[in-house]
Amino acid sequence: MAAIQLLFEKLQPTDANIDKATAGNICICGTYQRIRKAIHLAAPNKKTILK
Amino acid sequence: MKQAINVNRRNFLKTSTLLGGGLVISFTLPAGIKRLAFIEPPSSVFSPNAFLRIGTDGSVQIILSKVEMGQGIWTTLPMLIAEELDCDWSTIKVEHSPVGKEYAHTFIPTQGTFGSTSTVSEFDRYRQAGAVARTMLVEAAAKRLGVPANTCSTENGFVIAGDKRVGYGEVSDDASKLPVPSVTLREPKDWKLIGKSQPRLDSPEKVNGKAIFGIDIQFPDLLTAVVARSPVFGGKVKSFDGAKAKAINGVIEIIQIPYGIAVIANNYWAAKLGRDALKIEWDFGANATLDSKQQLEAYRKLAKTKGKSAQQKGDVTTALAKAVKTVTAEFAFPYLAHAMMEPLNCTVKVSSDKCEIWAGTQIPSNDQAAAAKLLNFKPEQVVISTPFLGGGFGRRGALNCDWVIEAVALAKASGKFIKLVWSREDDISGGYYRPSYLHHAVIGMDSKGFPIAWQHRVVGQSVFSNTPFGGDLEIDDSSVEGIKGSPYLEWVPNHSVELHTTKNDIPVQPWRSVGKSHTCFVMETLIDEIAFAGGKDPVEYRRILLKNYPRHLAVLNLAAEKAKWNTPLPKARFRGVALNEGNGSYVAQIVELSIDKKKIQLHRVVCAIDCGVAINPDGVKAQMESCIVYGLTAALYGEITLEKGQVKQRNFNDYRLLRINEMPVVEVHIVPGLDKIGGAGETGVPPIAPALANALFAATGKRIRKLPIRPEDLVKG
Repeated sequence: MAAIQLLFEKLQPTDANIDKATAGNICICGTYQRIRKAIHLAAPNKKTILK
Repeated sequence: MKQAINVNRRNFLKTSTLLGGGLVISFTLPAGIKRLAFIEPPSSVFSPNAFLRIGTDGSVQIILSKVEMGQGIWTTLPMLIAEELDCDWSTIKVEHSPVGKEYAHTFIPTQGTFGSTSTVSEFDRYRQAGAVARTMLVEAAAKRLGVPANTCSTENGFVIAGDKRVGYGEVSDDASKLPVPSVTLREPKDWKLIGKSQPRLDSPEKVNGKAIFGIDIQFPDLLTAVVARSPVFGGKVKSFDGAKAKAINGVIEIIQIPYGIAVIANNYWAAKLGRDALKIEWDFGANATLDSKQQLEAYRKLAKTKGKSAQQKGDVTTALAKAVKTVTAEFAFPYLAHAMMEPLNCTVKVSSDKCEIWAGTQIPSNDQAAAAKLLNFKPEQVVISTPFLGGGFGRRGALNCDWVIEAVALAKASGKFIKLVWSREDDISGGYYRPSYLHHAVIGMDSKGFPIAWQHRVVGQSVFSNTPFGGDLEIDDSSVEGIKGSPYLEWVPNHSVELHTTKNDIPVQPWRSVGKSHTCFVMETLIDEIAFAGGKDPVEYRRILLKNYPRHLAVLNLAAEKAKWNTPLPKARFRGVALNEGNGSYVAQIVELSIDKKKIQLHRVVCAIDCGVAINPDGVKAQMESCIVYGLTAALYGEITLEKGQVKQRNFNDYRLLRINEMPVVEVHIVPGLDKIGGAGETGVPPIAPALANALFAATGKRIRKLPIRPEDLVKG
């Protein structure tokens, strides 16, 4: 949900944008790097996702 | 301008008010899937072994002897079957097995997922399962087509003979009538799946919310229980007043148990409010004085005396006296919680002759035996269903089955269907930790800067005493593994490794990477220290000491190459290196960081792993990323402390995790290897803390002797 909000606000979020927006989402399994990648992947497709 | 998200349309959460007040947040569960059951097998099924079912429709069901806790075996084990079976990957459905002899670990006498042994222990058996099935399907199809079996090939769920194709489903009935053959497995050079990253089979349901974890289990008449446990381990209830608790809407029953009070309610929130409303007077008992600072002092005293010998060679006292240089160091490690994202929970139904348990457990055979014993049942009368685990790390394989037995006992005592839930606070402060340890080492070096004497004492509890997993009963291996048997000590002609195993009532439990979680820090920072003391580069120094250890060297050299160790770093950037060996695998890590305003900025971790065959390479990379974050979290923030008998930490505010904005870039490089196989679940945890500490030494000139790392450690020494 934090990622959705970010994609509403930023066309091309940077790693720093992603980190700030999702800093409240914690992961003990360590997927942070993949969360960043997933958001980068989603960004160009956000029109479809946010419909 | 911030735009509001329409949460309801996305259906993430559904809120409703409870009758009479109180907030209930219920998750929208997919229709019909509220209770985990084993997948219904198709009515007519070809099941050549316990791991595989093929329906007349060609669907493939794979039954796992191991449990999925995020480590990826839900995908890796099916890859082993699919490599030999030549089925259509998209038709595979996966489930966890029940408890059964067929699912026993192939080299440890139990049924469970631990020790990073899943892929190692099933590498042959699962491939065989696929090969046996394929051979029988081919024979059945060949008979039907009237051709010799050796003229047939298989692909994507079909047996092919010339221009004729027969689907596996068509001949599955015929195949099930054939005798089970012996088979030859495919050569690595012919592998189509193994060694190529595959998309995870559990990703879709974990992304769309359909995945069921233990905490999601729900069915009619299921009540929720929470337990008020003594804040001091071993404490007992002296008296209690449950009147206010009973009056909370939704609270059904309050039961006193030997070590606390259980509140049983219609739902978790009512149970929690009920527990909050209990007035309990505790008799804390002898452990009311437990204190971490006092324990450290007691451990220090012990470390001054001789312990039990774990390993020795030569005459360390004489050699130390002759040393040109000596390094003396004391290391202190705190208790650590596992901190699984899904707190412990267990659902139980008990009748007069059957017990059904739903639990995300790592060792279901243990739980079955313990539940049967408690209920005076035969083991077969206890049926365990395992949903996905929201993290295990060892806690969900509790050697005494504490959280499962608690639920079984409550179900029996109340006569109700019970879902026992531990809150995050219960979990963090409830014990079963990685023990605290003290190390004291004295190393003597010669004029060339190499160690000629090494005296090492360890003080701490054993996680294995009085369990079937205990190794040598004289020496607790989990306290000294990584020191005992260390390749570095092979170099040292005079050494002594001694252990004081302590006993107290703080429950302890194996924690991801077990003994190496502390011993690797000590070994890798000491090696670093004596390298610098002799004016040597830490990578080059390790190359010399490990010259007879090719697999250690391979990961060290790969990490150094990818990190460009010999190229100077930009100004204000520093790096450190560490190695670990464990579970049949070898890992090297190099950390690059800066220190900015007394805070660590982690830039990059370069990780090299040799796990032999990397069945699912992306899975191995994900495991290394996971190990690194888990280890960094512990190194930077992890500490459970006791004061006046009580654990001080409660939740992720005071038992912190690494956050995404602290996450370095992690690069994982896999050493190719086809003739062996090792695990990847734990081996990446131990080296990250010493690699970090060695990088901090490069930055500050100070050695880290205590974890977690503190702000004063970051000031230049």
